[in-house]
Amino acid sequence: MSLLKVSGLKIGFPTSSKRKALVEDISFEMLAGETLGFVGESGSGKSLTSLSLLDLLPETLKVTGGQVSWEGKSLFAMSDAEKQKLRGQTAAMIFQNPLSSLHPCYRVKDQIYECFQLGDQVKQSDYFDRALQLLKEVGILEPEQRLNAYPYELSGGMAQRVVIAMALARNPKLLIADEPTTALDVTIQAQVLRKILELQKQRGLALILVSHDLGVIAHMTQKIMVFYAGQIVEAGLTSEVLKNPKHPYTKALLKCRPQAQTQEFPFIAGQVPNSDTWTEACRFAGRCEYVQEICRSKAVSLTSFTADGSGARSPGAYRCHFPLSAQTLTSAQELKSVQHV
Amino acid sequence: MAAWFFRKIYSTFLPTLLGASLLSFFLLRMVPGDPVLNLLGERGGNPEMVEAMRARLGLDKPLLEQYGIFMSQAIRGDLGQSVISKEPVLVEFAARMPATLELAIVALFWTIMIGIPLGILAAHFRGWVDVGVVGISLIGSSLPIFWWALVLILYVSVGWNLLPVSGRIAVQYDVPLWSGFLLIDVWRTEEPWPAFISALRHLMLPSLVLGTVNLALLLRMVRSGILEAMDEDFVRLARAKGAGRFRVLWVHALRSAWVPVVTVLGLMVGSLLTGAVITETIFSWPGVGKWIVKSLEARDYPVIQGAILLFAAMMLMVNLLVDVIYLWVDPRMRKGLSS
Amino acid sequence: MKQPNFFKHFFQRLGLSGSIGFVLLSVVFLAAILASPLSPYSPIEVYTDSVKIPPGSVSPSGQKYILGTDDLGRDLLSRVLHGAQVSVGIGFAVVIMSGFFGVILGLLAGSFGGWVDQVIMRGIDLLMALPSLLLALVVVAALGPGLQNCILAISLVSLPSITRTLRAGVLIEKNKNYVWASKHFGSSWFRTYFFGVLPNCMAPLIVQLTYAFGEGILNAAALGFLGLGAQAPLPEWGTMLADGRSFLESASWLVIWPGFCLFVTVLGVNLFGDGLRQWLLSTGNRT
Repeated sequence: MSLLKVSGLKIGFPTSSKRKALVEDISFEMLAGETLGFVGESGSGKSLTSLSLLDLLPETLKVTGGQVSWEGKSLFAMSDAEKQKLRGQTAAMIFQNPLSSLHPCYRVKDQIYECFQLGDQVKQSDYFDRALQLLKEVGILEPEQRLNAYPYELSGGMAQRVVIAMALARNPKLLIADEPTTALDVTIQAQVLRKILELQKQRGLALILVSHDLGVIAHMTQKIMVFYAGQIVEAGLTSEVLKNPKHPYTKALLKCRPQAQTQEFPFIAGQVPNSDTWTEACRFAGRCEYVQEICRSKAVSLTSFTADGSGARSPGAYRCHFPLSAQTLTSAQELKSVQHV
Repeated sequence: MAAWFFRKIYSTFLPTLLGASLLSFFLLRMVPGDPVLNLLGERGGNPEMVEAMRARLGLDKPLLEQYGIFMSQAIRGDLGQSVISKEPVLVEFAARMPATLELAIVALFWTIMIGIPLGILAAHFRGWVDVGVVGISLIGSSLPIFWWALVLILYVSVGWNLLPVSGRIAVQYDVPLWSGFLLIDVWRTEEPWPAFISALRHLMLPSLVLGTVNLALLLRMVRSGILEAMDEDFVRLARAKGAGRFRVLWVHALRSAWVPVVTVLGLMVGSLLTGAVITETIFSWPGVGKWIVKSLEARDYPVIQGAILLFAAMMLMVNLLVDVIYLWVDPRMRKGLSS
Repeated sequence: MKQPNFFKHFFQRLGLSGSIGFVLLSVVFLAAILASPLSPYSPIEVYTDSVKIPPGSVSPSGQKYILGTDDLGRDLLSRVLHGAQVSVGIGFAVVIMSGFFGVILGLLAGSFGGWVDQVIMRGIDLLMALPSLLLALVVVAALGPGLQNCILAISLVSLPSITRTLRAGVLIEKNKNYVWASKHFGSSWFRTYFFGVLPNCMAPLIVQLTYAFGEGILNAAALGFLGLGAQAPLPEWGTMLADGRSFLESASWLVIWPGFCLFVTVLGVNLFGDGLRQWLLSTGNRT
């Protein structure tokens, strides 16, 4: 049985039905131990999707369609108590700004203890030892001192490690990480990501990693979903998608890395269209280098393909009228630079 | 910590106190007309009396010297003598201060006991409860104290004859003053209960009146403090950890809301003081407020001068206390302290 | 046909409570402006046979008094309406005085910085050492009771907040390019700051002045109540409350109506001020 199953997820505004849905037609499945990456620009809907998985959307937004099931149970059929149990126990989530994610008025140890209090598996007398253990596990030096510290005394990297420790406190099966390192220094980013990967392998955690950085996703995840303008435009095995992107947007994204040798800064011309202008037709049409007339008018849906027997193709999906044919990137080096974090 | 404290005293406390003394001193010297003549009234026709009075008040010396004398005496606790009562200003102040303090403390009690729960209710339930509570706060903060007092008196005292409207205790009770706080001192008499009840009844109306405007303010701050905290990242993470609505509000949002509330506490002290002036006048409460109004009307300059200095000192001390509480409530403030 | 759109836009931006405040204030302003035509009698004329007539009744000589009369036989409605005139006048006087001096001081402090700023801010701190009413009381004590001194005292009380608001705005604008450009093109200080910087500081200033308006009316009434503000027979609401206090039991309308009008006015100012603040200074927060 799948750990998490999402089908046809749609997120929009409950109060004003006139406004278009911000996210639509999201479907995927997670089994235990799998790693999945959500990639896309700001406003592509990847963060909203990740929030909706644990019903943590802000008050102004709501899931207006589709299904989310955790271990077979529908999220929206759950009572508040069941949802609370889900969060922290079955799945945990961490966010982008570690220093503001921690409550400024409580010490680190109290915030970790809260995780134990919300579950009921750890005895109060063991709180300190377990917290210490967790901090060591996430790689914090001098954990005893850090436990008594206030968040303002921590650096960004340390704070994020604390947040990760809190997320893992009740041994969840899935970790959702929404841009966990975006707010950190580049050198610290690498350390924290490496630690997350280590923890994922050690604990057999399933991981959903949300990022705008293709390099990060390439290094950390087995499967990938590319978001654009509230939809999935491509999905599949990370290595496959990055080697042979089917959607022009994915290909363009791959090119968007500063090229040291040629001194180029490639970018995708144009801007993400405003959500008011979204239609059933291709939303990338305005910026696509392969665009044809039909792209702007004809509704485009997600086409999935399954693996073929020979193993030459892995399951995936794309949302395009004219998917790119298999082609390798211009140089093997580009693939390497994408994978290096 | 000590360094921070002394720095505060040096940079804020002392200059403001100095400024207040300058203010009171020179302001009164700018009164149009001769203060001596104003005081003496008809007797001012007698030049010898005028000269004697002038010398007694020290008004014949140059201005700066007068200020110097005033300050050197003030530091030693001598703030002059009331022209009306001939008693030292400091003694008069100390005699009346407990009455005002008692009133202020009970008023603060109402403010906190009603304001905080209502603020929490509004933030938790939203919807109509919220609208109602915000309405109460808007009305409360626009109420003129003196009108509110009179309306309450009209209905509660005159109409329903429930509560008394003047003095601190019924006339028949003779309570020997020890601390100055009647609610405490009654326990040293032989039959404390009736006197205690009487003192309480006398405290009811004035303290309610005094506490109302602050209540409205506190209510708003608690409510907005909680609501703003709900949008914060740490609340989002708490919910992601599995915390329910209740826990999020009580443990996370409320704790964070203390910070703006403490800021408001400082403002409330000033409001209590000004409110006390009016409330004591209306309810014939023998406190510092009523005393200052009488002295203003009677042009009792030493009193006015001394009282300003004392009020300013009191307010500054409370603000200093608020700053210390701030450090305790918001750990982020401790950043600049010792490390 | 642009008119309807403008009004709709205006009330939408103000919000519900802001619009209610606006309506209340408009009523008060109308009463103030039309006090004389609207008053059935003169506010200071004494009708010796109509002493302490309850509202709605008729005097022995057949005259009707909608809100009753006071202990001297003066019509309360007329006095209350003229009281609106007095209060609104006080409010504007305070706004003009504290606004004028506050803006100048704020501009000076913010633009020059250095010791000018220090001196001005110390002076402001001095004014803020005492709570508002006490400061006003002291000034009135020094200068003597009466409406003019009362206005002066209250303007002094409102001065600090205006000065600080403006100074904060100037400090922000000071570093912007247009100020540098203006100075380097040879504009005088006056031109740069009055015509360049000041317009950009208007939003918080307008909000502060609105609150100062209400504060001024309330403080004036408080002073009037204590006998130190407007003097008889001037129909000021606070003074009327003090007069009516002695007759709380026998003629309660003398206390209820003037105070109610004061309350409504202050409420209107507060609501309108909040609405303005949300409109002009909104950060997208809901309150």
